[in-house]
Amino acid sequence: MKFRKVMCALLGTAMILGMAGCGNKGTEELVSKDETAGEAESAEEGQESDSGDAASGEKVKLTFLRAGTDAEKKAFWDKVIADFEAANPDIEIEYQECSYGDDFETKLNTGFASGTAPDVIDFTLASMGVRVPLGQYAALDEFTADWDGTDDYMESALNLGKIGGKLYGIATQPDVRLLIYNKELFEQAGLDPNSPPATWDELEEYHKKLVKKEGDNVVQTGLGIPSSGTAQQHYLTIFALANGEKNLVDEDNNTVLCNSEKTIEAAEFLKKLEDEGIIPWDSSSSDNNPFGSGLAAMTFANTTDFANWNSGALAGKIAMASPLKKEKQATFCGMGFMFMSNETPHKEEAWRFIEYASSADVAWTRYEMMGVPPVRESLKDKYIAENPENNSVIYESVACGVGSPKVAYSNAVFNAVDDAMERIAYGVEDPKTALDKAAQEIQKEIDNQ
Amino acid sequence: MKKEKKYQVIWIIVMSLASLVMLVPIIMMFMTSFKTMAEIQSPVFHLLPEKFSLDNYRDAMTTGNWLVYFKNSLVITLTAVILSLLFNSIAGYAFARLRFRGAKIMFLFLMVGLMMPPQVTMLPTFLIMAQFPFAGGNNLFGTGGTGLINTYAGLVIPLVSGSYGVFLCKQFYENFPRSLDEAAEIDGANKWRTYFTIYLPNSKAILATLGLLKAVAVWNDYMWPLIMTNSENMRTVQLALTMFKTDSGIMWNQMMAGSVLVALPMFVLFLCAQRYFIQGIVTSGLK
Repeated sequence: MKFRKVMCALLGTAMILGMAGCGNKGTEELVSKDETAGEAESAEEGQESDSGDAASGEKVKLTFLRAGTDAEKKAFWDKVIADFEAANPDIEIEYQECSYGDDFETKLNTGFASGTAPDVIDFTLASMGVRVPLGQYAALDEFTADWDGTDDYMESALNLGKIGGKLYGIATQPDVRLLIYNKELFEQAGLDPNSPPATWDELEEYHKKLVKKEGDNVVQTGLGIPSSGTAQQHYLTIFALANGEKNLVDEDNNTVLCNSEKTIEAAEFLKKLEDEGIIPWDSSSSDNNPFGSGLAAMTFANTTDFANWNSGALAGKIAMASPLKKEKQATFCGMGFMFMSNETPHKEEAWRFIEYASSADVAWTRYEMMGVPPVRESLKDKYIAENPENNSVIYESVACGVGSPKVAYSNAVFNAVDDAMERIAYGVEDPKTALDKAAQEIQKEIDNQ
Repeated sequence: MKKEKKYQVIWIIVMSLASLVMLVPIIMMFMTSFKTMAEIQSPVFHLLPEKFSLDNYRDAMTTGNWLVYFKNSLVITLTAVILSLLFNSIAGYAFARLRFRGAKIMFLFLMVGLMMPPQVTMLPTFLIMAQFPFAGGNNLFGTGGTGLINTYAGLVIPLVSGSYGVFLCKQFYENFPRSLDEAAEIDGANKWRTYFTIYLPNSKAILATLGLLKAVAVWNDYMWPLIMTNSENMRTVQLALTMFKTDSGIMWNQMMAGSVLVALPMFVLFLCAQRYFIQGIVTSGLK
């Protein structure tokens, strides 16, 4: 009898606890925070907490979550955090890291949903379109009055961190797409290895000369255009931007531009190059790029890819070229940012950390330890002097770089355009039909927002 | 007889093909773990590596503190397995052998848990752990601190119970003859004693089955440790494998070497408990 009672009590308690979990306070808080964008609540909490910490003389503990788990970047952040804590003994940074992609999104979603989001977040440009409208990232304008970066930052890099005129992210790590070419293959094709293409016409001419075929099989291509994968939209963006288009979507008024006249013209140009002869590859991983195995003479890739290729079999054989020009000179440039959580009760301290991590000194350390190009004008000459040939091109490319559209439906844009580009590459549809279809899909997503 | 033999041969062929489909990724993982990155990226595919080298294993194990990661996974898996076996078997015994008011309704509620995808309960469970009273600086109402986030307890507590385990144990104990309980009662044993001296010692098969399933699930779990931990010293082996995913791509050679080592304990465990596992599945009526 006693045993039955004990068992009933145990099972009952377990069920009540289980149900309590489904409707507890944290979930209610999440709804309320999402609705009010958390600003008022966070500000009040912040004041109370800050004053409490100051009065007690205790250290303020900030959590910092960065995207990526590679050891090289961890070493950089370990140094930055150690230096910051030494200079700011009242602040302690708890470092956290998580791999890119869905894992990072899950981690952040759980944090924001449960009120345990990190105070400072190192993440990508694309996240802004989703998280700013949700009120998860704090506007930083109130802190930037005395910030030296306002005047010193590259205009393009500063603007990338803005939505609706408000600054939400401080750019720290450009991920620019550079035109990279193989000098050896240029020479073999009778082209001047010191004179890469600068315009669309030149690119087309070079591409034709560099394509090699054995029968119907393409054994070497000029520009290594991907035939599938997640980076196809970058290629279209690069050519659409150079053709004078704003982006694939106008984020100011949600106008779809992926089927505009200029973008279609860019896609038709890419198709023309593809018809000359390409080696199909899946751009979801740069490991697949035929440029790396010497089967393509030109490609668009970032500085990390360049460094990897230049330290392997292609060492000394490759070089960078300035962004291509048609209507204007432009390229795609992703960006890593420092964001402040809107929920943090320690906004002042969080800003001090962001300010430090984006300072000129740390930007230079970032370059020295990881090769990341600085985005400050004051470092331009010093940066170019380090490697005049390559760094001048990188700096120029970042300066004219444009990132992904900062919209909540950015994933829909990427997927629709990637699919369209794949259909174009395999000749399933002509550029106009494919991009019109992509535009319809994106418009549906916009209407559902 | 001839027809039967024919069916047997077809059956063997089908099962062999199915086994091959299952084995191919494992074989590829094993072979890739000995290849260099250049060989992996080569457009020409060879199953066997050009040269067997243990460099990938050495490089993988010197990236990060794998002793800590293995220790964490081991502690979490062992604790979760031991506690879950205890709780599941007690609950299964109660549902199988005790008659109490509301038993059917309770069991029905429990079965709802079987149909609930883990994604649905993840956030509520996380909130319970984050707002656990008097833990991680929390007060009685579960606020003010981080609760059980980034602790072994936070990782283990939600794993110690499960509808599937209770269901399996209930099915298993229902096969026991009633005369066992009657004999125990005549000898003066109460329900606790009956459970611990008669039922538990005769539950090896089902406990081995459940233990194995639980161990594999906990060891391979990625999502729960991902959201519950935030420091390197709490990282599990599955999370540690993401270290090989860098900005410049995935280091497949080291990733595969790490994966082989991470999969090894579960492989050995399955080989050891295989006999009990099959027996447990058969006797609980879940074949």
